[in-house]
Amino acid sequence: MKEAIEALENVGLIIGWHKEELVARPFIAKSKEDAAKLVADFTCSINLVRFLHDLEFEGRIGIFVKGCDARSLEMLIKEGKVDRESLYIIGVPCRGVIDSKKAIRIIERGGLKDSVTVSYEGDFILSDGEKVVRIKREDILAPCCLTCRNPTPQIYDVLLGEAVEGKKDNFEDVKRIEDLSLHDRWAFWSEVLSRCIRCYACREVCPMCYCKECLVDPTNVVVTPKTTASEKANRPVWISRASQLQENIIYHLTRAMHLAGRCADCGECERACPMEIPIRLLMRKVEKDLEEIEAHAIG
Amino acid sequence: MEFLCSEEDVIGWLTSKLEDHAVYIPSEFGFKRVSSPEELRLDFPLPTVPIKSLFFPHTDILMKFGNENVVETLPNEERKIVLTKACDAYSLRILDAVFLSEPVDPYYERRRKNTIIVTVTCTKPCYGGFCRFTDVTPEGDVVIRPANGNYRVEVQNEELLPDFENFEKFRVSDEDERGEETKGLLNIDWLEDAFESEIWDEFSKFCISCGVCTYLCPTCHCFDITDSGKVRIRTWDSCQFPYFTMHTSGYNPRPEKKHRLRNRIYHKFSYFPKRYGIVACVGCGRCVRLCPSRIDIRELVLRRD
Repeated sequence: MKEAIEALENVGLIIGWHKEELVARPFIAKSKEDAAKLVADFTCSINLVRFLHDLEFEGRIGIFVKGCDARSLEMLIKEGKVDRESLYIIGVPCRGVIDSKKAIRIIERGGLKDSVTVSYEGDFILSDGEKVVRIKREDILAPCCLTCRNPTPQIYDVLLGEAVEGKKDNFEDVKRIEDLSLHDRWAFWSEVLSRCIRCYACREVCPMCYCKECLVDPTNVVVTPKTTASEKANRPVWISRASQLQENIIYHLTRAMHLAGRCADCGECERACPMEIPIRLLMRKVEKDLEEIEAHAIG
Repeated sequence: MEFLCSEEDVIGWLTSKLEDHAVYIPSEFGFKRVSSPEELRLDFPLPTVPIKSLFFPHTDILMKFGNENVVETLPNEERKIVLTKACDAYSLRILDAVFLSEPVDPYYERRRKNTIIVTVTCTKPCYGGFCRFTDVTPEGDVVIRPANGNYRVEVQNEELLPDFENFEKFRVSDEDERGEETKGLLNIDWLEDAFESEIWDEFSKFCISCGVCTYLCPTCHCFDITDSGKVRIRTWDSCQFPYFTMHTSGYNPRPEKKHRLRNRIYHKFSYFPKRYGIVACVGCGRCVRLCPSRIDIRELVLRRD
């Protein structure tokens, strides 16, 4: 990619996306040859900002961000977790990224073979060379893209292409749940949250979940040679490891509260969740309430 | 012994078993107990949560503490029929080798015994799956293969033969729809000299240390035991979690992602085969499909270089 190769003049390395059929992979480009492999298209669903937390590099880092990714980056800069000056931000105005779980269902239902090419011509076209399946945008894009208010990064050093206009977000998905009776709402959340297997993919993938020690695994409480056995045994365990509804609820609600006013709605939690729990609904409920109460909006 | 059955024949047989068996069928996210015959079908999906959850559940209560006594809470024995795909059925070999060898795990054993495995073979590979390269062969008490609109029913458990004696015997001329056979094509010998290789750094660079690959692996079986209120529970644990190997002293022998990811690969493709004579990967592709960072195990074990 031309822009990535140019960007290398300003930075030592670039975190970008490497072409792959459904989900472009995170990739670190250090040379022009590497940079040539980078892409910025509808397969770039992964928010790369999260990788800034564990990248050990002295010097300026180039990073590709979509509109939603940029919002999470802005928040990290505000929180003092990332130094703006150490970054060269390559902004990507985004028209939406595909949801790999939806895509895999389409591929398997359509009887397509394993290596599929995806292209976009008004609709998405999936082809394995023999069979072709045509899919409407809304049936394959990630849910967060369908209501995206900020497809164009507001923070960048270079912007790839023209700004994309944001959609109106009326929080229809949240309202649908709010409108349910107490009984039905409880039934809904019980059903989806009892599915949680506590793999913590949502936490690990979230750029805003950077705590060194998390409520759910407080094993890192400092242990010294002088720590007695009973002190170790009495380490605080705030929440049980059991994958039971009440424990799962505590985990997800606590996470939602910790992300209040910080969530960029980049959709990473839902993308990572193997059990397809609508985690964003919780985050968006908090966001909606905050906007109503304080006329607050992140970023 | 093999029989030629229609879909109704097979569903009818399963329905007749509903009375004195708990029948489980895969749904999108996991195995569900069948409560009425209408829920029985042979075109079920490969569920996100694998078959291990029926015998080695995510959370298992081991014992309860009273004020004066401790009560062991062994699960009730249950006559089960489990409908499954071939990869999950084969994974039970790996789990059985661990949990049913001495010392036998009584929690697993109670759930596992009296279980009839009914395997329905796939007609096409699933996205990311690579069972055609692993050693998976269709096995179970009953193996059902689609055959020209009907089903070729192989009864591997002789005790079940009387159930099928009224059905027509399968004749070899009835061509079944089995795909190409390409077994034992994993390339894993290179692991022998690769423990210190830089490949682990490269391969784990974007691992986020979540539990997706291990929790949803049908053969991963690591667990932790914790006390929670008045119960002692066993829960799934993952070698990909940084705290998995954390010692009480604070020392961690696998401090980095590369160490943990390497362990996952070596356990499946080196340590386990050496100890039990069987590769601990069935090629179901769950880790390939669901890894949030798109780390693809096939690049390691199907290498062609």
